[in-house]
Amino acid sequence: MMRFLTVAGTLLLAVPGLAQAETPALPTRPAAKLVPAGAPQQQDQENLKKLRAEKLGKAVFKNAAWTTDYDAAKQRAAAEGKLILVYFTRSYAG
Amino acid sequence: MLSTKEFAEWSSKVVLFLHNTSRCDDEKYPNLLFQMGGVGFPTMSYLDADGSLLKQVGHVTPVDQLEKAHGELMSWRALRTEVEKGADAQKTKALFLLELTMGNRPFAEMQKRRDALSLSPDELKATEQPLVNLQFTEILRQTPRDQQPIGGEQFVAMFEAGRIPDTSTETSFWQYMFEFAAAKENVPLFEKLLAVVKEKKAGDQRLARYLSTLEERLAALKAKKG
Repeated sequence: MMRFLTVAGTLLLAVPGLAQAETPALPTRPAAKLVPAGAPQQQDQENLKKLRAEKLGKAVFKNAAWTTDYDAAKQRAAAEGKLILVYFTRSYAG
Repeated sequence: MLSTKEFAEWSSKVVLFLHNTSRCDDEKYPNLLFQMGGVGFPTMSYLDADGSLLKQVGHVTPVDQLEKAHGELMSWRALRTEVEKGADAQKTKALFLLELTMGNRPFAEMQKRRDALSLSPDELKATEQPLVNLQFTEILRQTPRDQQPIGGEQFVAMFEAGRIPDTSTETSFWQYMFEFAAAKENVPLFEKLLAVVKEKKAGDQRLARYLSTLEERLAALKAKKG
């Protein structure tokens, strides 16, 4: 059933004109993976954390004063009367 | 663009927040992109200090465009401050209309504010569709993607009241309602929605396959219900 729903959703999104969403560069949530319980999940988490560290360590994010702390960003924006410019990215896939 | 000196210098005007979707189990705000109306990576958006979305500016946006949007938002903010301090009715109305376009305030609040304004019949009419779109977008963003029937139930109430959005994400309005009807095994509702979608999209050959999928789902639902 879920597969069927996913297919229907995909069809909708694949139809130009009907699905004029904000031009997704990449889907935010790819199909769920079937991961066996136990060690593989842990390995997966370790890998995801490694990928995250690599992403956040990139030179591009050292060029300006980026914070990854949402609450701190809001506090600073309120204190300084500024707007927040958020850059949404991902590290779980290339 | 983010690596340039121009961006680094310009960026002192704002607070830069980097949100990385990592899928790590310790991620504090894993669904922030979706809650802010984003659908893909990368996305750049302006937020107010309280975390409310002010404007989605695109994917990787050049500095001049960031600056233009920033200027517009600061003008909005100045107008808002003026109104909060007790500006005249004209400015109060101007702020309402601007925020209706921006879609940055909650639907219930905007509905109340609209009702409190002295709008002409034409002005009143002009606010209807943006309010419908605001209500739709708000429900859409609050609905977890894997729980579409929840949003669908609310969309059905809008649909029954003739409140049909015309945003670029309107597809989800129908999709979520179909999921709700299917989850509830509500054949008459599914049938009704399908008839409306077919009428609205009549002649659009690109939808033939999708409509046929919906027909199959309807047939399956009917068979299941006996």
